[in-house]
Amino acid sequence: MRFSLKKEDLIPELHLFQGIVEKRNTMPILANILLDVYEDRVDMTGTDLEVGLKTYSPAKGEEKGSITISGKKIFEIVKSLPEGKPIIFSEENDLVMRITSGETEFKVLCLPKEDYPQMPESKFEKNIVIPLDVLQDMIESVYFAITQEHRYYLNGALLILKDGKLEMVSTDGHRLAYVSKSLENTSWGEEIRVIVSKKTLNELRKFEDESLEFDLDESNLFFRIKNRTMVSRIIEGKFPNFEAVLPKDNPYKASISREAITDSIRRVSLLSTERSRGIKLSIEKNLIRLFSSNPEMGEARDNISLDYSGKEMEIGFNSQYILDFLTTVKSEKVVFEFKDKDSAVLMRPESEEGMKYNYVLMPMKL
Amino acid sequence: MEKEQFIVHVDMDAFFASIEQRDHPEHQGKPVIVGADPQEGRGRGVVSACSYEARKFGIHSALPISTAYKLCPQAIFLPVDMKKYIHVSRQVFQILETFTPDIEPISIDEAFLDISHSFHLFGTPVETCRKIKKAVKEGTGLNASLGLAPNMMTAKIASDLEKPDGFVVVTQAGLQDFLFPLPVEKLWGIGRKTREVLKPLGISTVGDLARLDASVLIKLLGKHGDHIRKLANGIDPREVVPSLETKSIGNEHTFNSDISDRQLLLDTLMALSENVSRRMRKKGLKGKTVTLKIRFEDFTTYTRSVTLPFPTNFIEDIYGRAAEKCQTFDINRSPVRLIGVQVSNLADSEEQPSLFHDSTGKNGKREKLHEALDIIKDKFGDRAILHRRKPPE
Repeated sequence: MRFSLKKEDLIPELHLFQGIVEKRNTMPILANILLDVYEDRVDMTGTDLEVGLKTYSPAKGEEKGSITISGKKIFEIVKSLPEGKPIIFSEENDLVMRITSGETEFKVLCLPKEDYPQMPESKFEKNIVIPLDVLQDMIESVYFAITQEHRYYLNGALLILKDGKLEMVSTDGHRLAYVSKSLENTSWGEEIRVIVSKKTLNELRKFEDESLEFDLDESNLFFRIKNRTMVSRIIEGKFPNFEAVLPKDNPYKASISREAITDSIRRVSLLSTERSRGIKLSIEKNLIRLFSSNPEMGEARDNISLDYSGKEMEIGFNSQYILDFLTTVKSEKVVFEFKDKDSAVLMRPESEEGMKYNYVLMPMKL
Repeated sequence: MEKEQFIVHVDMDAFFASIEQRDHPEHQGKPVIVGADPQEGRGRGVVSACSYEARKFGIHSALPISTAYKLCPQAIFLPVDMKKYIHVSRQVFQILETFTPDIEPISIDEAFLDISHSFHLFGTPVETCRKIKKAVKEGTGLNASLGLAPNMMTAKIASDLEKPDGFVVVTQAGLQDFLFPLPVEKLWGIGRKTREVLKPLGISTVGDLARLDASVLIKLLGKHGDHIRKLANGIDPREVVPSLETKSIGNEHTFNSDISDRQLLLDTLMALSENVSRRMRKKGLKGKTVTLKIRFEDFTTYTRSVTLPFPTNFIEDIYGRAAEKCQTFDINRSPVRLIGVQVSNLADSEEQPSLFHDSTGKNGKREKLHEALDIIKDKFGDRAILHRRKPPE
């Protein structure tokens, strides 16, 4: 095999593989990417068997062929070479790739393509097209509440495609983030509910384009953006019944300046215990008192004013959990909807701007 | 060549008695005995600790209190104030922690420190030890005896040599000169039985043992023979294993003789897990990380941890995880000397309730079951209701 191409055509593609190829040494070939050389392009495939990516770069293919090479090393090598000069890849003898550019030469040991796992493929016949910026905003809104743990069905976010509506949900059992967006002119047929892994969502954050095509089969999800197709194994299992925990009629609503409450929680949480990060909110007429104490350190207090005329109550929270929400949401004011000190609180941006965003948080017992 | 190790053994001098003498200046310079009530010679308990003045009368810990009373009726007899001693012990460990994080506590008043990686912050290893002694004295008013050596065994022997208020340094170069003249029973793992085997060979000092042909020892004592010969030559395979976190609850057991019976090992682990589980519930704590500690006959020690997604104090979680880790060791190859289990990464159990009502929550079925079990045990004793281990599949 022999081909040549330009550094700037290859780097963006190789960069994408860095998050995908296997870093642990469980199966050495999974640290590699598969190169398939054609006349006018080189196809690249990488996978860790959970998430895979297939893409291509324009190239001058002088001799067709296929081989697998370390995804990390080829990226580092190409990155180190100067711009402007063509980079020539040629298979020296069996399983040795010679990479040259000007006076520079590398010889890299490769593994045969026969050992590389087959990637599932899709023809994208369902014609599902999702605006990429919408999807990325939704991922941003739920990403922080995804956990990595043995309840594998929580290691991703639930994605729901209904006619005219896209929804996404994540939870770690203590808090839940829900986001939905109405999309006009969509007819996707049957409702789709799938759990998308955290790693896939993270990769999707990195793409740039107007829209992506989506498809799925029994065990895989497919996302296509221009020359790139991502394949992600569906996380099996039953996502918790989130509809049941979204508070429907919390009677007491407090509208608060996001900046004021964020700063105040940051200050007061300095003296919360490291274990629980617990702070107490006392809500009174037009006033919230924030308080934290740590038997080994001391205590902190702060007050902020707001519009509130509901019931007075004292309620404890993990401060980090509230900050996760406050630093993700962008609106100037946020609304907290309470019921009592033991019931889940609903937090949301005051202005919805076309996207409904609900954050549900269980209070702590302080 | 491996980098030289600097291991310190810190041993508080007559810990309980010294604390009492510190707090009661009128007892200073007098024989103080901490332990059971002597009841004028009729008491049935034992001596927990005694001051150096009392030791001159032949009194030592674990002696029946009645004997102690006979030997020295004029001594000051005091009850054990464990709460106070634990408090002081914490202070001591807090001081030690300012010198290195690599601390393996042995008991309430004794610990190994590996200062190989931190001594340069305080000067030389010897200067570091002097600073440790001084810091303990200034922080608690108590004396500690220190041994500094290239390995744990030698450090422990050294700390004992010039007690009280002692400090003995053994360098790598001086290791053999230090060890060889010592009586052979000073080595770890040489008890009565081994001594009986060695005696006919004319071995009475560590040097005699070190010079003995390895094959003779292995023939007589098997693997243990090889181990003690290495110790005699100043080769100690043990490493300072830091206690994982001070904020943890654990329990461990040293077997009377090393065992390779998996059944017995798991039964012991079950009993230890039970103890840990109940103590955690009594304190209202849950933890996420379960750690198994296992020490083999040659004193090599391993810890294996697993972190759960949620904090627990249920015995089935603690035992289950620890037993899984235990299965990864081949105990037929090397018998087990000690086994322990510990839960760390602690949280107060009530803290953060779950959004979804599952059985691990406050009002879950498992929670109620364990509360009921605790009540039964508190009322009718620990053996009133027992766990049965799942038979191997």
